[in-house]
Amino acid sequence: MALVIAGCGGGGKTASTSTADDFAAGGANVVAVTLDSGPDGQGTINTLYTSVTLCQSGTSICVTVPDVQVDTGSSGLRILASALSGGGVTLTPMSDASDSSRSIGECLAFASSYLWGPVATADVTLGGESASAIPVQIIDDSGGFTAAPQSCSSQGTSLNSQGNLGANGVLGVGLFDKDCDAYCATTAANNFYFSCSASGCSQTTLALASQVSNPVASFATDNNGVILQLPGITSAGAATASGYLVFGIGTETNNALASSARVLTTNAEGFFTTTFNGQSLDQSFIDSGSNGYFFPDSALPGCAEATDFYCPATLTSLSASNEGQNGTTISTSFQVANLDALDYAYYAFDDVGGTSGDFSNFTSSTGIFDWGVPFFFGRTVFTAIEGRTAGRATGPYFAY
Amino acid sequence: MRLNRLCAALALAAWSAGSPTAFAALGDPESSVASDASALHGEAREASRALYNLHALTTGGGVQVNEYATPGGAVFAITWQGPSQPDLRSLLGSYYARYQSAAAASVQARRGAHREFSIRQGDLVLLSVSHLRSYRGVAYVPALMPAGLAAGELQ
Repeated sequence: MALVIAGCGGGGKTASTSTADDFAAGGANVVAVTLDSGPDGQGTINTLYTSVTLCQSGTSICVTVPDVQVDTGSSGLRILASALSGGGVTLTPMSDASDSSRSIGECLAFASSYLWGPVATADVTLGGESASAIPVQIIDDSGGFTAAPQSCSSQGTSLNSQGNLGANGVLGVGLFDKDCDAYCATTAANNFYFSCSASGCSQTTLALASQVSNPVASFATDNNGVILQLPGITSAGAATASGYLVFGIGTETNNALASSARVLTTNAEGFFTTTFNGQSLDQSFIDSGSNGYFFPDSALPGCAEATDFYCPATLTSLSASNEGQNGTTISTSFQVANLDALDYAYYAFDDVGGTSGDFSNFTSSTGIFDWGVPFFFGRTVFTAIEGRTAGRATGPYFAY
Repeated sequence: MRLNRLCAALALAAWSAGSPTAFAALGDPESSVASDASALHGEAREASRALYNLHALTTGGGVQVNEYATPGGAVFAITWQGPSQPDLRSLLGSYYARYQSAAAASVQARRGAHREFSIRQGDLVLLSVSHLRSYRGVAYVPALMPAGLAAGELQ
């Protein structure tokens, strides 16, 4: 997707006036992301990894944690306790402001799983960018913190291990600054934050400033969103792949909101609408933390073992239309391959799809289209933070 | 109101860690829905249709929970929608173990966090979507659904 402007004269970096962003030259706001077999070699396809440096706040006692999953579908940095202690870093759980003998724990629920562990503050560095003393979540894989309360463990399977999480942590650099925001600041029974003693946890509100937050939102500059760019690959996939995670949109010479990129603003929950197969799916989103396209399609057969995924007999070309809250509509084509026919030793695919569960029968939601990692191959995708001006538009928005 | 005082008294008990509370849940008798409202610290509104009774609750966490009961008195479906995911053990009752098994299998098959989860077994259908700011789901028992009611009518 890189466009080289010839004839600008001189060598070295050139202020980009192209319609695409070229990150090969690097920069303080650029870090590499890779897709491979992961920290334990066990591998989950289409997982984006990068390295994150955490320091005990105000000190040079630091650890660089590799294989942290890059996730534009969530907000907040979460790191395995074992990765911190293994690197000699100790982060102290945040005290409950109303009772210093108690510490703050967080439950982050997913569709069939959860992360649990204390909140702590740390200095976080990504590339040449830093955020000081921001709240992060320590994923308690070492059992050093109070056990998760039932309302948390009832969400499903614990991801409190490298084996279950498939990474050493999650770097949430999505649409929001705070992972919970006003809801957790005002409602005690929020099921995110808890006040814990050694013997148990109780519900609590948590002030905005103490909530786990998107590190990018706390950078001194380049803090209005991120850009994710992966190379194009063939439908057969690739053993590994690498691309770029870039901080800031329209804040440096290398991160302009491309003139060819079209902006889809989202609603307050981070959704736009995808029309597919005549269905209007009103809770749709773009998400580097999902490893496939997840959408309802009764015409595609499921795979024999990986029943979440589709296994059509042959490579299937499909098309959908994405519409932002701002009315911009982008026609978007994609392909779904037979997962079982793909190379088991490969970890990067632009054509894996699966079911999102068919909500078309339930009137309270018309359904979801989750545009996961396959969407990013061969694209430059902009994710702008809620309320931040990013180029010619204001977040929350996706643009591509 | 009496219900509010009862809620206040039960709120802490219901939500403190590690104290399971007997709730009306999927598959349970309808008569226990009232205790569900208290235990979830919710306010219940009720509506009757020809085929089912609908009990709409809002939990103390601001999650809207709808419980559908047959005229014969069994809770055949539950839906939830809100800014956080409710306590699924309370809502799924005797189906909770099945939920946990299916969840474990889904992580085994594809590790890491998922945004969507579905169970399609003969006697249990469950769909859920989890995304910061918005969590929703539906669970129903096909065999308990009143004849003539389509899953499409569940909100």
